[in-house]
Amino acid sequence: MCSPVSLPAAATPRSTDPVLYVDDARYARLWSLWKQVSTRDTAAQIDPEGDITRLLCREARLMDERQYDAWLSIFASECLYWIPRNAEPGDPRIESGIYLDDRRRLTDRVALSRTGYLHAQIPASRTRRMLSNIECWTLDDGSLAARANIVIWEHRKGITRAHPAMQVYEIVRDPAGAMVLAAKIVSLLDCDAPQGNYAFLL
Amino acid sequence: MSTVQPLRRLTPAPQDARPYDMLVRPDGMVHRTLFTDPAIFEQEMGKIFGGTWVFLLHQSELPDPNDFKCVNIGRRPVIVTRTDQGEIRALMNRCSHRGTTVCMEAQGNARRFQCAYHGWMFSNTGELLTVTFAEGYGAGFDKTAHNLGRFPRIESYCGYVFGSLNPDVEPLLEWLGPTTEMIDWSVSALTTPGARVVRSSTMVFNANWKLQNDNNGDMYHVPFTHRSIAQMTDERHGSGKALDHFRGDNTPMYVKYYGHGHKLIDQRPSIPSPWERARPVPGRETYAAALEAQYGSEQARKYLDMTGRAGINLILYPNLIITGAGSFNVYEPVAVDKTIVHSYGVVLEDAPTEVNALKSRFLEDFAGFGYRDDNEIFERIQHSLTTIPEMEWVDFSKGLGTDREVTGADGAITGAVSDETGIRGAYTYWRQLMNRDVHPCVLL
Repeated sequence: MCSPVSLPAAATPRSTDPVLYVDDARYARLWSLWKQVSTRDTAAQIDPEGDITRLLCREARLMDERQYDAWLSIFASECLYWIPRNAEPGDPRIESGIYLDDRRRLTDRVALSRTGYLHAQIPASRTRRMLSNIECWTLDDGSLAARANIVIWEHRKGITRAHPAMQVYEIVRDPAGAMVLAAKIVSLLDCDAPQGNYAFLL
Repeated sequence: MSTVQPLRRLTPAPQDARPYDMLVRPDGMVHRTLFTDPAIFEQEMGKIFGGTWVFLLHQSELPDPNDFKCVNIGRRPVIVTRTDQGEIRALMNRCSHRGTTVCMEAQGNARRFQCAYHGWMFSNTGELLTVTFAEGYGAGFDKTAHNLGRFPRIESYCGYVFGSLNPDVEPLLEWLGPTTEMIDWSVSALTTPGARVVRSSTMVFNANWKLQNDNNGDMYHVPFTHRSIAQMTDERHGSGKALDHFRGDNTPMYVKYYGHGHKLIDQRPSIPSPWERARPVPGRETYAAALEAQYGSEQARKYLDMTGRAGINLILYPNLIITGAGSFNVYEPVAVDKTIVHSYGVVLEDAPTEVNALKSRFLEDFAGFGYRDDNEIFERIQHSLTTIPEMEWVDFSKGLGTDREVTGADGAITGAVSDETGIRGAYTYWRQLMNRDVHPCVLL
């Protein structure tokens, strides 16, 4: 029936709690983050402590290593993860994306990749993310935002592909004081072109 | 319609060199070369995509006079326009002078199209308006013979606009046959006031277009190909949210073959409430609560059941699949081993924003979690069929020789939900079209 695969050590836990933070205001905040940061040309604060760069590099590396539990812990409990379908995305309530996930659906993606039956990842893609051009700002409302370029190199079934993108982040402090991502937006260079069959987490 | 113009036929198709009857057998076996042979693919672009009705677009994609949208029909670049007069035309996107692509915008609003090479100007009816430096053309130059080529036949049903390059094709209604029962049911979402078709996902895979067409009429694969999404959904959200409604043939669901290549999978009998069954999408709790607070629980439930998938696959041969709730997919063959699938959803301008916010998230659901496993399977099939010539046949015989197929009064054949009844029917139509002597042509 299926190729033999190694099943994961532990299944992703059952989703039980209702998600109560995805509403008009949260969507407006996400869209506003994109509009404020994607083409921002005010002088960037180049991460004097280096802690934002460390956070973003770690996030990229954990994705490459498929350390998804650790990766999810980099996101705020009320996070959004958006891969728009257009280079200049419209209101995400009206426009469907490639992804627009709350924490629950982002965790679903992780769970899917762990079932052992995601055929499009048998064999799995190996990836290396090259992150650069990191710029950071404190926005008018005091929140912290960053923008970076990325090339996701992917190898699967003998073929190596590059997926270039711009990424926009909203960074907040969690209750313990650690920096976490409240939002991540991945603007793929080819977002409005036919998408290949990429089943690894973009 | 403009004044009658003589048909200008292209070079007649060569006499059939291939014994198509040998390639699609009555016992449900189909030859591998249907998926791998570039020469057969070329013939399909003429005899199928040029020989029968093909879906162009939904009329709500061209709401205003002079709107246009570019599509590819059997690889031909086509500008579909709505003229000043509101008529829909399909024009070959090829300058009649030297062959340049005339329009490079994917969609927009324009009365005229000017060729970038030598400046010839065409109206959105296809008429050649201006030839630059015209004094260089002698008395023998017939400007009226240099319009953009246009489809000789355009007809629509419930807003679904079809075109044909075969001037002798049967009337659209005759070709649709009994499928109209299902189109009439499914189209309500598109005829709701304020409904507007929107592009959702677009994907490309390295396999033949017919593999996708087969698969959309195939319920047999669901528990196996889609095991990842079923298992994830069970683990994360409990049973009753995934594919519980299909674990075999003991269900009230069915497949149907309508003739003319058209087939149906009807899951509705096992999905009483699309909303209850749906995997939770972002905004599920908040927007359901907002709708209930504003409209009461009964109306809120009506709205919520409009947000998800409606539970049908109606495949109109060769390039349209209607999935209900206003959603549809269009297949675009690119090469014998490459296919693009364009997916569309619907925004309801007059409905509460909450409804659209949930619809948008549902469009990302199966497209993001399910299609990828289908595409992987198509690519595996393409690889094996291409590389192993010693194994010639693909088997679509499930249901044959059983008492599970029943022919109705309308001629449609109903089968058990996992049977290959519809797929087999579609290949019978494929063989009929490919054996036919057709002459695709354009009006000038």
